[in-house]
Amino acid sequence: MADWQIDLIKVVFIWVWVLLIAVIMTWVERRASAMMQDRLGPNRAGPFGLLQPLADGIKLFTKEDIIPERARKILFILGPPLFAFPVFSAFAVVPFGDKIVIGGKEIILQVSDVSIGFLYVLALSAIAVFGMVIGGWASNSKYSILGGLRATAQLISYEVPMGLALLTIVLLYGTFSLREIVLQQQGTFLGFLPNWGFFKQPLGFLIFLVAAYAEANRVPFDLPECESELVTGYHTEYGSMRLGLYLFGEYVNLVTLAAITVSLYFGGWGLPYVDMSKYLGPVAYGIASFLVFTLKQAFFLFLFVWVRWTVPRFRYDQLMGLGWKALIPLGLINLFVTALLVQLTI
Amino acid sequence: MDYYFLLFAIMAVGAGIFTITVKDALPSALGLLTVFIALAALYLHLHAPLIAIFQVSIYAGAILVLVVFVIMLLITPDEALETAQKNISYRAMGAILGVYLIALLIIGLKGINQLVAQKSLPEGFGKPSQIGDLFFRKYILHFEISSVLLLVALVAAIYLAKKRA
Amino acid sequence: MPRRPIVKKEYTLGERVYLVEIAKGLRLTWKHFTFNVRASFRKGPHTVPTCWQYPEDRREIAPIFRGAHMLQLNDKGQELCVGCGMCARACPAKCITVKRGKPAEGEEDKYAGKTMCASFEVDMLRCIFCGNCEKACPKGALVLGQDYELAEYEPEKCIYDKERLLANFQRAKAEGRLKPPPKPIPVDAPPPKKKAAAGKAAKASASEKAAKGKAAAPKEAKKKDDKADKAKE
Repeated sequence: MADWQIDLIKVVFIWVWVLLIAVIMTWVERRASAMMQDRLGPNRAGPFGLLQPLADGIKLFTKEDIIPERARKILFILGPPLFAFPVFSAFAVVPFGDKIVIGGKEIILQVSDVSIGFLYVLALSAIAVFGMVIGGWASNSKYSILGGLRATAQLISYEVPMGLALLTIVLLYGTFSLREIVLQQQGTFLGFLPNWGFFKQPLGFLIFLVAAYAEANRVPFDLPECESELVTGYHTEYGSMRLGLYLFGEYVNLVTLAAITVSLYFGGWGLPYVDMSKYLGPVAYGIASFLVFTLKQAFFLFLFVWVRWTVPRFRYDQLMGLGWKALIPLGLINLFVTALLVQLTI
Repeated sequence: MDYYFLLFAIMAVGAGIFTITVKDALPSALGLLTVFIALAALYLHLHAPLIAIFQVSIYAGAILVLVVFVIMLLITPDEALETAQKNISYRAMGAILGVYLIALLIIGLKGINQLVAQKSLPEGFGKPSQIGDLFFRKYILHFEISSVLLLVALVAAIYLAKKRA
Repeated sequence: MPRRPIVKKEYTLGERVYLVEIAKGLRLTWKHFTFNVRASFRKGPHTVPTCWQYPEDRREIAPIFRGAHMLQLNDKGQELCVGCGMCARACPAKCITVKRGKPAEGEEDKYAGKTMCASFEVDMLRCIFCGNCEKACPKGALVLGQDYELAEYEPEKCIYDKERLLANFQRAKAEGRLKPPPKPIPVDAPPPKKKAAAGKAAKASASEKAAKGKAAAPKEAKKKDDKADKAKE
């Protein structure tokens, strides 16, 4: 099989897999949030409500598609895809497993291992911001414009602490490529801890996690979103599948951010002290590494849901104050301390 | 026949023409976004992935977002830019600058025959490590001067913001 | 009343960092989560204590609940409604329509009174479930039962005619959810006649009260007698 065919299969697999995880996330969100609130969540559509996402999808597809009269039609239609497609594409650089050997050919489980690695993800989140801006402006309603503006301001101001946390990662590992970062996280650190980024960079992990919550518009930073629960915000005027694309894009964003957190700070597809490739054959190793990665990713996705239903949301000025006045100085301190430590040990 | 180049070149030129001819502000900004993405794709084709990412994340992701902010804050979707486009002095300035830029392009394209022949690239061309190397060894003075420029911009922004408070 | 002094509490650095509080919150939410996950796997209704799973768990209804209407029969199985139309007069939403009629030749023992209602319609879409009709009925025929699941797919089905109201009663009787008879309202006894020296005003008011008491008492007594008769029958 030619190389491009293998890449095509990987692309299709990742598309389907990410969509599947996003769909399952809607179910997990509703059930887990209900369990935390002393109720049961959807349990009528299929056993334990497992067919509920299907019902939601059918509902969104069959609702009437309304474009407001005074909205700018082309931009209105352009908003949701501009938000959803970059977040789908960002999964291309995520290593979801180590090598797998099929038919004598060794295939790395990553769609493309470019040298720029996670910078690609940052760039794509910058484009996804445009989807929100355009969606808000094209709705041509005062509240949508203001909501879109606030959402955009929040997103771009939290790109800076995220960039600072990622900068310290580059300082530690010397490469942008996510696969190489995961490869460098094998073994142990200080003798007994796994060599994960979390133990080498606890402050950096914290900053990255908070910035990831803000980038994904999740509580406690979901003021742009909850505003639309209060009938303001950039996706007020959207209905049926366009709204579905916005909401879906948010879940896919979550999946991508969880995957990147796992790759950078939690050792990607490797088990902590065990080197699986010694015990398993090549095909089984590939599948096992994929499963380990998915389990870690599932933990972080559950953490997103868990924090959402535990913590109250921030007010807008508290949110921006946290981003600019707390996280950026912390990120800079982290950068200096890490640079000092790296210099002292090399 | 380099189809990749043709596709993105046509996309860039078409989006550029769209940017300068459309009568509304935000579609014009979106046209500029398309130009940046097409340029990034062309940089990729030239084996410069880091420059492509800089183009998207800095130009499209930061500068253009600020432009869009200003548009969103000041221009309602119903307005059009007709008044600015009908102004005679703007048109005259635009014409002069356009002629100047075309002259620059023609002068700049004089040495293009030497670029067409395919050369072999040095090892590690375009990799981030090589660019970092260049920044901190050969071009470190330029790097420091640009950081001072950014500092000046920062200080100016803070001063302007504080003046009103 | 002096107000409590306002104390502005300064947060320590640990509290400002907020992470410990978040961790405590996460622990609490986790406890709820595991408890409810285990509860959701148990069989049987009402496994999660705070969440009633309708329609398997239903709450108990008070006996005086005002739900859907029903036309009652007495112990002999005769219809109590005489078609007087007091309920239609009393209804604030004007949703009851009654037509009085005489019973046919051979069916006089189906009805308790000398007349019957030829048609009796209650429009449930207009009814506000206030219970005025129940209070106004002189025979105690129309009562509001305990049925609250009244949704239909067509609005025509929400206009209950006499058959439906009688069927409501039969269903309630079968389930043992009949409405208990209304409690008699206590009336003051008329003042004794020896208090002639109390004065004219007192006497006037007393006689007013006595008149009112006497006017109410016979009506109540008559109503009680009627209901007692019905209960006896």
